[in-house]
Amino acid sequence: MTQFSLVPSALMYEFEQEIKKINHISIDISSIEVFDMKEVSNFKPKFNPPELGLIYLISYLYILYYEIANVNIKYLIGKFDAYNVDPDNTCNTHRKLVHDLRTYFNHSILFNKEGDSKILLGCHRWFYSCCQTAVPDKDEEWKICLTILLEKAVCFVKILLECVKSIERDSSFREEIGKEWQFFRNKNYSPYKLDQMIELIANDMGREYIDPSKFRKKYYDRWKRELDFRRDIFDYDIEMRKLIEASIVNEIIPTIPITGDDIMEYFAIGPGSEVGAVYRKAQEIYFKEPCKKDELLQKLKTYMEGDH
Amino acid sequence: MNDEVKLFEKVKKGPVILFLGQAYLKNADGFDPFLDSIVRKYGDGAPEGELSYDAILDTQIAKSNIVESALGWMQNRCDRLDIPPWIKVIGDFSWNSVFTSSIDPVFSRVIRNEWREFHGVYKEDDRPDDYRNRVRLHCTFLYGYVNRSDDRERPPLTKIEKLKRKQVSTLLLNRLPELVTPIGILIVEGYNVVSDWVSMDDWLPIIEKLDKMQTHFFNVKDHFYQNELFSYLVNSNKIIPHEENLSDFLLKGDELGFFKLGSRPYSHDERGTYVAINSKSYQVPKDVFTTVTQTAIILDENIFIEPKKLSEDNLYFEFRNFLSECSNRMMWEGYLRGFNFRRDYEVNLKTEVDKLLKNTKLDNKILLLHGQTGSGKTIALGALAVKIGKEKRFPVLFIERRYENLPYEHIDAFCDWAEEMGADKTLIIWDGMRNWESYRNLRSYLVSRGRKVIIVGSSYKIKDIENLKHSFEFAESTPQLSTVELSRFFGFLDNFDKNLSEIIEKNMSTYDHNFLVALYRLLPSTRKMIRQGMIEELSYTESILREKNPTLEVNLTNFGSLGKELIKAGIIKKDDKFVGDKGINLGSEVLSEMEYLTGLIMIPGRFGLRVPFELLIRSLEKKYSQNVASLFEKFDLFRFSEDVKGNIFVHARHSLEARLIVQSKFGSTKSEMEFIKRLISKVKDEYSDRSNIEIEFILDLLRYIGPNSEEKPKFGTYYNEIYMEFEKLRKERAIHNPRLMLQEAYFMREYVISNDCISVYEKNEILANARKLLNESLKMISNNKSILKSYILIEIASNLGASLHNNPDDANSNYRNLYIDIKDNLNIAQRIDPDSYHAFDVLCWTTEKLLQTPDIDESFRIETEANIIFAFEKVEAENFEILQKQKFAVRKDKIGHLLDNKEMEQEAFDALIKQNSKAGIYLRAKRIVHDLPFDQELTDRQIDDCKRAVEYLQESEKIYGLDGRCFYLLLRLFWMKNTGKPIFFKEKQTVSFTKSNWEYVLSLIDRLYYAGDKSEFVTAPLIYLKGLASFHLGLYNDCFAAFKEISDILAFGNRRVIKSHLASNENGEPIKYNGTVSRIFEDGKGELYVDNIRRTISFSSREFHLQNPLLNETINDFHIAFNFLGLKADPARKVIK
Repeated sequence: MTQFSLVPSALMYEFEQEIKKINHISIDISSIEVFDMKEVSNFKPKFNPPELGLIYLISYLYILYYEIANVNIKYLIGKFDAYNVDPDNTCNTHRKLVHDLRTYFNHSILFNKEGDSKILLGCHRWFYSCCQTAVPDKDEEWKICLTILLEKAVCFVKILLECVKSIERDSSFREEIGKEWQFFRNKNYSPYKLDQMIELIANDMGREYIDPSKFRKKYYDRWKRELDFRRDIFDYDIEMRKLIEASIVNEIIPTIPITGDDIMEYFAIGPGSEVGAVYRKAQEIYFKEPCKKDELLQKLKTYMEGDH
Repeated sequence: MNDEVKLFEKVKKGPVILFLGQAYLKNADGFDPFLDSIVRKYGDGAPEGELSYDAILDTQIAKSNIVESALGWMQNRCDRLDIPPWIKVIGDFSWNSVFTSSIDPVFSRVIRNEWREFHGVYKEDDRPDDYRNRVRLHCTFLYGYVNRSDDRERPPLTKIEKLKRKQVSTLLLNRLPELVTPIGILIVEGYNVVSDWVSMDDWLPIIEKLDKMQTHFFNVKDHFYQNELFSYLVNSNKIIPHEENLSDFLLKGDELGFFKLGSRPYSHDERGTYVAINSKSYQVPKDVFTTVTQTAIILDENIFIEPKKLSEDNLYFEFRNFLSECSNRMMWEGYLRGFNFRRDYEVNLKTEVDKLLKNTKLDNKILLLHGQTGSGKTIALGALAVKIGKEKRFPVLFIERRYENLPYEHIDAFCDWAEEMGADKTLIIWDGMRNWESYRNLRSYLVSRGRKVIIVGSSYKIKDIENLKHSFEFAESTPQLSTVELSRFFGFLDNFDKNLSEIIEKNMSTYDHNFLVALYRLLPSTRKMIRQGMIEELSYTESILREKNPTLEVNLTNFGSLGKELIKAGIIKKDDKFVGDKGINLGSEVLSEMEYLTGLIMIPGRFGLRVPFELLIRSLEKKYSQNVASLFEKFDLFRFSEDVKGNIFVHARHSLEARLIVQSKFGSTKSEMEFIKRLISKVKDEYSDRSNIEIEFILDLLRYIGPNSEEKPKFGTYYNEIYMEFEKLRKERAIHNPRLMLQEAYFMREYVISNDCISVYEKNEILANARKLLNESLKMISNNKSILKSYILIEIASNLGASLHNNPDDANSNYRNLYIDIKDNLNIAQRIDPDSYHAFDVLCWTTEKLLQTPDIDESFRIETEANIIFAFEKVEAENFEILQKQKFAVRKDKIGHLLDNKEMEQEAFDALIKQNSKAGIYLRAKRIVHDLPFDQELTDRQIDDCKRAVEYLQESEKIYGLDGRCFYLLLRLFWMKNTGKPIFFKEKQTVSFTKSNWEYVLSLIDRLYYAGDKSEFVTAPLIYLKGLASFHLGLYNDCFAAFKEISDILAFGNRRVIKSHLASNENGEPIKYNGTVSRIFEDGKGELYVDNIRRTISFSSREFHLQNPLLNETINDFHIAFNFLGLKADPARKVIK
């Protein structure tokens, strides 16, 4: 259990001061502000009552860590090993906890879903470690959790500050790192910038009803992967626009005349990844030349026997 | 299955080895940030065009001789490079091993994570014993590594250095085929056919050794085909080229669910491993996790997470899969889904375990689940682990069947941690199918380190239960389903398809002992087939079989239910013989390749053993080893498994199946022996440490057919063939492994003992050769405390004993020397392992033999009798572990009878005394105190006896001089006379000795140091007494020196941690001490400085209930307790007066 040296508001003040220091140095290194605090200027957590305060704090940290500064934080974490910062991996653990706590409070968790169960268990373990109960329900207990989370958040930004200071001092590689950081940032769009792009493109294509934020969340990983794994040099804005447009057009999922059941029965294979792989091939065949169920199965069989 | 799916499946199964070429950091435009930086810094100008590794040769680094600083700079540069996403994806896969021609540490940064360690291999001498370990990933740097500064490990920086390094690179690259094996996959990424330092010329011999479709080059460019060798290998299907990047391929596999990128291979959660102890969650520290998971499965909380819902078809599929695999590996999800049919005996098993877990004793009994093969022991133990784990009170470890010596220290590390977290006990379930002694040894080890454990083991049916009841509880697994179980069983089947029970019932005429194992083969492969009707399906299979072979007379009843299913599956045929050309000579037989392969796997398989894959491949003839993978696919008969170190094994689905197959195909012992010999002849002794799985496998196999096995009547006549095979290993292949040499000598002795057809001369020669061999093997062991050394010494003694057996007529001429040799060897063995019953047993049977020898010299007979009586006395005084054995009582009885029958006439005895015979004095004193207890307080009469005997021995001291037996007896009797208790009697005893008493004890001990052979009398318990006496006399230096002496000789034994005595005053009251904390260790243990004795002693904060002891914190009023490890602070409240 923590020793309450500071009240939440004092910790919050310290947290923000550290962020300011980080931003000053990062601008110096690469003209980048790690935390664009303008985006959260209207959103500051209140700590009373503490239960609500904790939920506010989690949302606030989530926005900072995963939306506003996600790209920069990832970049800096990638440098920890080089500067021997945070050998205990405190930053990643804290960041992951914020992610899990947000899911815990803001989403309905299903116990029979493996990922959810782990989040639930993880959060309960954390509550227990803070206030000796897995399910806090008293103000006192919530306050302890709130304070501990804030303390860890302060610790988190202090570690980031240590990292940017190390880069600042690293005269041999500082310049190269500055350039690399900018490059890294440019190819990783912030969610806000992406949402603006999506809104524009959706309007251009007459799909004003599309919710940019939901749409981004649905496709973001796929777009990112497409761009990340290209080893050639290209214009990120143009390529991203192409991807968004393609996703808007293909938003309605086309179906094919056979099901996984048909595949299992026709090819006498059991459930498993192979069914998915054959289904994917069936999609390819069908979209190239649409046909009826029997014909599709036959074509699929020919393909399989040919072992292409 | 199309090629891509096949490849995904193969990558999923492994082993899968990655080769990273020197272009792996390059983007599509050929830009390599690492090379670019080097050329900018150390080159002769700005870089131009696409760079290759040749650009780092002969730069300013070599010219200016700034190698060390330049390598440091390169390392720093790489540490600061942003890792490209595609490399992160490649790093997320759990590779078995990585080889690379690159020299930078970028990829190693990706490898290191929460669940995986990075280990570099830089030169030909580096040869890890777990080269394919996925969680201790070995990365072989063919051309060195910038993080190393040793000339043999750093990268070449001049053309000459590069040429020199090429030889090393070739040697290292040659390791690939063996690591990939015929079933694995080699994946090459980041390779440039033109510029990579590993050229296609280098690749050719490596890839030629692999089978078609085993080598996959990714990111292949058009210009690759301009290389003649590359095109040749592609055209011959030896290289499969892929245009796509490896990262894309891996992402696709992840998306389709073939494997999960970024997840630890042997556990589930990146959040860590948590274990519930007394309903609270504790995270297992990484070091403990890494250690223990090499040996055992931790039943962590993730195992108990409710599994996701499945469609009915998938549920049935998974159920059948569970039946197929559950005897080979633990499928925890299956237990949660209720795939395990609960047998009635499991209720009893759980009740017994609950009882043991509630028991507060330190030294608990072991629970042994025993029963014949196929009776469901593994499933029952799995279910037990899940049940106890789910209760969240006790931590549970599950140890699967394996072939290495179980590293006890791994288990100890986990139990120690669990106890620190507050666990009252740890449940260890070891499905080892071992002899009961293995479980006892594990318990002894753990208990001797103070661990609180309950061990549940598995074993074949044990007959002499009564003899083992003192240290074991038993539960029996019955193979036959009872009527009640059968009716429950049909209800159970209907959970997976409502028609299933009806179909099974219609098809089965009997439910014999093989039924549960056969179930997998009874069930159709998909649920849809059930709907189509299983009866038709089975008849169809049978008719096809008959069509293929009209002469086939399938007498199904001969094989039982499992046999029927194997016949229907085409695995067994009544007339036997697999299809295929006969071309392999084995002994006098000529076999087809499939027959041969089957024999190599199924003969060990019938004992439940898994054959190390490399050994299997070496045992196959070269022309067959390449296409072995296709042979494996032919029948649903063999199973592969990979252990946590990446070792691959091939085995039968179930030992019962293996037994049936062996019976039907290789009926004769001679045939089986030929296969066993072939496996022995191919064993590899590359690594000298104990983790050589091939040697472990061979030793296990021999255990199952050896002199102490049930198979001895069958294999006994072939023991000479076994030791000759070992001899060949030594002489023809120069394999000198002490463990194998011990086996060789053991089988030589057994052959001599059990064979009456060879002459005495021959027998003596064989035994003498075996002794020579054993002495050679002793020289190879440098560690004086090695248990193997103890085993070899015991074998030498047994061999000498066999010589006594062998030469009854000549015995008189040399029995005296033989006997002395036997004793000497056993004394040293017992010093290393005082709990060894085996050493004691050898002394007993050799003495028995000697005493039965006619015309033995009378004075020697008396000496021998005195010695054996003394041996029993020593055991009774010191060794609880041996005392607990039923065999001990039997031996004692036997020796007792032997001595009684030959009881000396009083006159003869008196004559001996007149002759000042030391043995005579010892025996007379023993007669006075003939019935002293070893585990209870003495009666008044017994104390009087002790007094008389002490007086007698003190009076005769001048006669017996320095006779150790007499002094030992005097010491023991003096102690008992004054305390009324045995020396080692329960825990935390106090001794009401005066100063002169202690001085007398010490003087007796001192004299024992000079009495005859030190190894016989100066044992750990005696040195302990020396320490205890010195302490009570204030001779603290001597006291601490004594405990140091114990630690130098003793490695094993329960007594190590049992606190036998407390420091006490003349009245027998424990003395209270005060101290201050002088050191604190991470595990909660520490040291206290004790003012009164001006020394530090150890303490455990847990025993004092101190959560966070501080340095210099004062601890008052504690006692000082003594065990074999030394002095320990003991909280006063715990004293048992």
